Amino acid sequence: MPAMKAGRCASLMKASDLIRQEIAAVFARALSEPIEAHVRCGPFFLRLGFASQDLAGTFLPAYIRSTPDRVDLDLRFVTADHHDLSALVPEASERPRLLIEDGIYSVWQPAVIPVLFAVDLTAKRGIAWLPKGEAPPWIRSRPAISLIHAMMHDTPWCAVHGAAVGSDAGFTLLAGEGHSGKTTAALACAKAGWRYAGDDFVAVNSETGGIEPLFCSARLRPALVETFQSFIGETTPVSDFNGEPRHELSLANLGDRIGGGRLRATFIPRRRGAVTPEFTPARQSDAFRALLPTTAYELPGWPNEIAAKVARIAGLAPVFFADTGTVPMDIPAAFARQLERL
Amino acid sequence: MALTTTVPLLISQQFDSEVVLANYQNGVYYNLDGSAAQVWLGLKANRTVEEIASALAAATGGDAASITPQVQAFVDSMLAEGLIAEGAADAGVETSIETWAPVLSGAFAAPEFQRFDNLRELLLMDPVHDAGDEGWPLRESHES
Repeated sequence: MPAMKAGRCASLMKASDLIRQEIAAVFARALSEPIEAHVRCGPFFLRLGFASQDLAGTFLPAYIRSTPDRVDLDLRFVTADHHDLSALVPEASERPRLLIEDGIYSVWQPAVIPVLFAVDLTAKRGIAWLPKGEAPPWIRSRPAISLIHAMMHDTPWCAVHGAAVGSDAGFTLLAGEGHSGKTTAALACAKAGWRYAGDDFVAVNSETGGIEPLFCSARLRPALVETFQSFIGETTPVSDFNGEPRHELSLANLGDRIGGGRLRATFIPRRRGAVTPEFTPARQSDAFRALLPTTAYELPGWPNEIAAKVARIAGLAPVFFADTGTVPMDIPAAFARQLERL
Repeated sequence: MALTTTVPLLISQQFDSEVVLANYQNGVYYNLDGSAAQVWLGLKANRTVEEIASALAAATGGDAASITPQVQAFVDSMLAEGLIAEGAADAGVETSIETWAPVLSGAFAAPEFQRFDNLRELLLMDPVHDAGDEGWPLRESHES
């Protein structure tokens, strides 16, 4: 089927009007896409439509399957082969863009592999458009998270950069930069039977401390494959961006153990040479610094609102630095003991 | 010279006696503790350098004459770093003008900030926040 052409009256319209029109056109062209799925993403329920099996294979493994009881966002993944949305690409297309206007939120990310995300917040319809038909690896593990961020505007929810796992003693939010040990700790806990809410971004309610998973994905460094081989399966897709190879995992087979709970403590993983896991009290500001920079960077728009939410989240529960030790599978018991002391 | 702590692209958050500032465009963030936080909070309450120095001297039993140049040097360094800016006083601080007072214990220590720029490399990868004020300039219609 030939691609539909956008932008008939582009030069006469506001950008938000044109984007709204083209989102509607994508949905009008086909009542449904060849592959559809119902998923949950944080506090929201999504109906996903993929224009091809390849697109579904790229993005669907990261999502948590759900039932079609509720739809907060109808989201279509399309490429230039299905819809020509090139008229939406802004001038000076080598530059990233953000538009928040009249109920439209749109992000153009041209870096390396371009992608356009846009949502009509009133119509509850969104698109992820991949001009080259492929997506950067970090988008595959957290597809369209910027649109979820837009839906969280004016709610207490915030997508924060961190991992989260929970046991009977409550959930811990693992905050810190890349290479701090978040994924190792989260996967070790999941392997030990804990509930898993994510290793990269999770949804946190800044008023109640409720935690919900956004995705069932994880990104694992090759050096850790041996530790988790029996848990993650025999083969997983490997991505390589900026010389950092990652196994792109789908943990969908955890089933009901993909889930959320109530924040009990924030741990800031760091490696300071301890053999066995050790905890040191930290301050609310330490949690804020660990959570905010990547969160505010990765989620374009409303930075001060993000900061205010992250500050509240940082103050919801006790904060500890966690030197996670040298044996990953020692982490779950140590985390459990620390949570039970609180 | 009027100074403001409201700076574009800069997030500020106070935690008790500590202030965290984050520039979400370039990924650099800063920690202000002790007297440094108090100077920033004084500026936020529209106090002058001299007023801040006098208050810090009173709170720590120090000498205002020796504290004032240290506060001025710190204010200059914050200006150079873009943590404060020249401009109209911060809006909405009328109530804090009356209530602001430095909270410090012990002797006065010269204010300084900690700078963290370990996220710069990440931010340069895909700087969506560099979008600037141009908005979303549409291209000419392909069919016109």
